[in-house]
Amino acid sequence: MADKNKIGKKYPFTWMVERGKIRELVEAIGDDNPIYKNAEAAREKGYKNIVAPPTFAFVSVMWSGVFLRAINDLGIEFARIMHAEQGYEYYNEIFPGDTLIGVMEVKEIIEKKGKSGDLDFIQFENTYTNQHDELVLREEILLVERK
Amino acid sequence: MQPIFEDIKEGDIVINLMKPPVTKLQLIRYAGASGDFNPLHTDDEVGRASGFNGVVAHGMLMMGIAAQAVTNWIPKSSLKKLKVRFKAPTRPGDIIKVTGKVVDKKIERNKGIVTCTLEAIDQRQDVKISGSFEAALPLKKYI
Repeated sequence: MADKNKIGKKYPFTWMVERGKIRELVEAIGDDNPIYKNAEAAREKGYKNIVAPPTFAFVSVMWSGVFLRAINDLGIEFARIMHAEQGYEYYNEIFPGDTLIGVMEVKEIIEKKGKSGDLDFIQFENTYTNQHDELVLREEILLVERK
Repeated sequence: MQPIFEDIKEGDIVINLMKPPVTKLQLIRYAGASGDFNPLHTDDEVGRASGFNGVVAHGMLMMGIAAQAVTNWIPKSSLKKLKVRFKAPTRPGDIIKVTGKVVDKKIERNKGIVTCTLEAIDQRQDVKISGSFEAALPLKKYI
């Protein structure tokens, strides 16, 4: 079971946003909105450059390694995790070249009895700022560990 | 055209996006793009051992598709909140349709705040994700 002593623990991370990572993400999704790939098209829509799509922050959680760092520290088995919920609140855009400064926090760990065994619900709340010290977004991740 | 607050009514279906079938190659690409290398999404053996009929899609790929549907309707910069619950696994071959409906409207600080529900279903009408989003839309008098 996830280590309840870790509730409130914060895992900091930083991540440099690359244009290529934005492109890979929207191409995997199949999202052909030009604001994610073409700076000229993005400027026509009022952005100063290409922007990152709404679910991009999760890329930094995974690629920065903070997700596995937190999961391992909590004693959660990666192969037993299911993603239950994901939420975002947006404050500022993410552009290529930005540095995201993130804090991943363990908000809650709850045990529940499921039909086919016990489940642990692990809630993370992540806050992202950028190199200008602007709040970029907040992210909520709810995971379920099947035991 | 950017949607205007006054033109939108509660109950309007504002989002209706049909995607091509999800493919195994797409899951491999999404794994590389996102950095989520859980083999449940790329190795059929692992999918079967986990009680599925093979690989299943990343939840975040499904959320990315839902977000695509949202930002096809409103500008990305108008999106203020987005939240989803993952209800059922998506498998290669599934044809996903995303719909969104306006459920609330209010004016806050000279912006029109519109709240919508969001749902992604497959060709069998199975609900894959359900959720909601909030958008800040311009008012007519400021255009």
